[in-house]
Parts: sequence; C-alpha cells; structure tokens
Amino acid sequence: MEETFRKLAAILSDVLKVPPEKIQRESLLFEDLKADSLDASLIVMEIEEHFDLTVPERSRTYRTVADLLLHVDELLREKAAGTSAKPEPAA
Amino acid sequence: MSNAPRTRVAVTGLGAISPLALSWPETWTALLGGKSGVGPISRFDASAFRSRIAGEVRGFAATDYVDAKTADRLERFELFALAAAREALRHANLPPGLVPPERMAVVVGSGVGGIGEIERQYERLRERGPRAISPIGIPKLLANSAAGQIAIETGAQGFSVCPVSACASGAHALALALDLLRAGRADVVVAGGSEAAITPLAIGGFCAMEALSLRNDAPEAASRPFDAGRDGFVMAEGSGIAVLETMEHAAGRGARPLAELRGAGSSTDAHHRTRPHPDGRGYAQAMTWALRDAGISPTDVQYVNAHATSTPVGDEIEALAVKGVFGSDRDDFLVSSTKSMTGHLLGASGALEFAVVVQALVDQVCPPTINLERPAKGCEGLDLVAGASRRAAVRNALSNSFGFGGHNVSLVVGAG
Repeated sequence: MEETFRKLAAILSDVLKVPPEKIQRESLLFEDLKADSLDASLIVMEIEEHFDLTVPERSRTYRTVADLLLHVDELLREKAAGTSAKPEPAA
Repeated sequence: MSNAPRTRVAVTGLGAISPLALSWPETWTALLGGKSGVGPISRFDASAFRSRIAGEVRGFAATDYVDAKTADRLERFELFALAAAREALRHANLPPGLVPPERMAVVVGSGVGGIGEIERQYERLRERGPRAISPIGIPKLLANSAAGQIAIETGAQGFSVCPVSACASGAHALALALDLLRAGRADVVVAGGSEAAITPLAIGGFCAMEALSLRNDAPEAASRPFDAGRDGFVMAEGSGIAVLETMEHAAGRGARPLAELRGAGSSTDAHHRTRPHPDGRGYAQAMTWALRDAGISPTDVQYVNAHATSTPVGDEIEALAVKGVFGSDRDDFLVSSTKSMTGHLLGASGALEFAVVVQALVDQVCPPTINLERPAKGCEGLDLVAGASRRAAVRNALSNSFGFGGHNVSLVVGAG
C-alpha cells in the first residue's frame, strides 16, 4: 500500500497544486488540501488513468486521503483478482 | 422619450492584455509608436497551416496573477480577462467593497470562448474514451466563464452576461453596459472582451475560409488594413476591459472620468453569414444610430477607430460606409485601424479599440495605420493616419466593430 500511497500523493499534489510533503494519510481532502467538488472528480479521473482502473461510483465522496487510499487499494485488489469491471473501451 | 436628463456614463478605468504588452499604458505607447505585435505562431506547431503568423500575447505567466491551482483551472482567455479587469479596477481606483455587490455588473464578451479547451478535451475523448474527459473541461470552455470569474473575484452580484457576436462581442459588451447604467440597473459595470483563439482549430478554420493573411515571411507587415496589398487578417489574442459607471456615481466618490461613453448603435446586416452587405448599409446604420444616441452630428467626430481587419472585402466596404456617414476629404477627420499593429483579437478587439478611442481623447493623439503604403481602391478620400501617430484635437471619437453573422456595433466617446 506504500507504493499506492506514493502514487496517489503524486496525483493529489499535481491536481491540487499542494507540495507532496503536505499530503498525509490523515489529511482532510476538502479542509486541509482545499479540494472542491470539481477537484474531486478530477482526482478520480486521474486515478483511473494512472492506476488503469475504473472507479465505479465517481460521485462517491472521501473525507481523508486514507479513505481514498483504501478505496483505490480495494479496487486494485479486485482488479488483480480479476473481479473488477473492465475499463470502457476507447471511443 | 421623456425630457428627463438621461443618465450619463463615465469611463473611469482601462485594462488590457495585448500582443503589444501586458498592460494598457504600455499597449498604448506601443500603438503610438507604430509597433507591430505580430510574429510567427509559437503556441503550437503551425508548420502544416497556410497561415503561420499571429499576434500572440508574449510573456504572460498565469501565476503572476493567480495561484498555481487557479492558473491550471482557468482557460487562457479567462486569465487575460481577469488580469485586464484587475488593471481596469485599479486604474478606476475601485477597491473591492466600495460598490454594493448588487449594484455592480459584469459584461464580458468572447467570440469563441475556450476553443482551445474544446480541442484538448475532444482529443482526450478520441484517444482515451469518454471517461478521460476532464470535469474542468466544460467550465473552461464556456464563453461566459471570463465574466463569471471576474464576478467571483470582485464579488459583483448584479447583472452579468457574456455577449457572443463574433468580432463584435467586446463592443456589444460596452453597448450593453451603457444600457444597463442608463436603465439604472447598476452603478458600475466591468465591461469588455477576451479571446485566446490561436489554436489549431481556429487558425485552420479561418484558413479554410481564406480569411487569414498568408504573408508568413513578413509577419509585421502582414496586417495592412486599407492597403492595396492586404490579403487577410492576422489572428491575435488578448483582452480589453473598461470600468464604466454613472457620472453621478463617479462624482460621488470623487473619481475623474477619462471620457464619457456617449452613445452606441447596434445594427444587423441580415444579409450573409460572413460577408458584409456590399453597400455597407449595416455599417452605416450602426454609426448613424450611435451618433444619434450620443446626440451629436457627424462633423462633431474627429476620429474613427475602424474595424478594418485587413481583409480584401471588409475594409473597402467600411471605408465606403464611413465616407457615407462622415463625408470625404474633411481636413479635421482621421480614421485609423490599430489592427495593423495588434492583429485581430476577434471578440476582444472591440473592447481593446474602445480603450484606444478613450485614450485618443485623453491624450489628443490618434494612433496610426501601419503597413499602409498604397490605399486600396475605394479607400481614398480618407486620412487614414498612415505610418505614424498624429496629434489631433479630438472632442468625440467613434469605434466600429463588425462580426461574422452581420452584427455591427459603433461606440461614441466624448471628452469627459
């Protein structure tokens, strides 16, 4: 999960323009990292792209970085086990 | 019409981001110096395009104006507008909080809004599918996003809108602002236009229409309004923003008007999607109505900033219409096209050129038409201020803006 966290922190840093060292597991996405609802959607889009995943519920809200990390980790496990939905084909 | 005295409207601040400079005073100095802002396109690889020159805004760093995240979220035309609006508000000495939010309006036009973002997101859609479309795409591509962003920054909660009438958008914004102030629906209006369309789709599209100059080997000489050798317009980008307020409001806070926006005239050709009516009747109508709205006669106007974009068809018809309205061979009447220096900022052009006529009044000098070596047939009989700026006693000035679709706007300013 450490590698996943590092990748996720890089995405958050890039999308939210926050220095990587400020992104901790307990950071609150909206309060500490100043994300808004559009940022949240953008983060999910970047996660799908960088982790080659499909996040089934894009509107799901996360409180902390750890919440997001747990969900990404869960999706990665499902993907590894071959149980996740296949990404949609390119148009 | 009632006999009650009509609300008069003051221009109290100007701001600009242009191919010549990143502020209005520096832009004006460059215009008076006859400098060209046109060069080879650097914003994308234009080698496959027939026209490879443009008036690009150079040295503009978004993070000089907003934080890194906001810089990423806003489209280039929004950033230009925001920078120009800040400058105009500073110039007007209108700090945030001075005007009640509900009495402040924002009217900022754009011809094609976030066309660059449309291209970027469409590319993502084609390459990676619908899930790769960014949620920031729509907010960035909306033409009204510049107006919305200025409202967010200033806290303006009154009327706000983005007029879209191609190359008349910025001038329409000023005409609409005049109406709002006269109708008593605002005390202050932040008005103007913004454009950032030096993109493959826009350049390619205008190339396909044969509208752009192909003088790629001599960029600075490419925009040549009224010249016999003109071969099309030069695409440019930037923003012009003005602060307008009622004279009463300006006086109440001790602000000295730069000029008065005396009148506006808006007409429509109802003729062709891109070609002006050959006898210039729509152009003449806009100018005539603007003069009537201002309550002055043609001989009261000493300077016209022409729309003249350097296209073979448009300049000649505008010259015909100007002569029809103002007469020929007057020795106290100057006409120039500053697009010879800036290129054509599409929906921002009318707003930037509004700043030109205001400043011409303030400084009593008219900027030149550069690259004018041999006036085209039909353009004779007018003093086109060829080559160098000219001192002139300017009491009233008029700015023309005409957009594809047949939308015509003329604005009249007078000494404040």
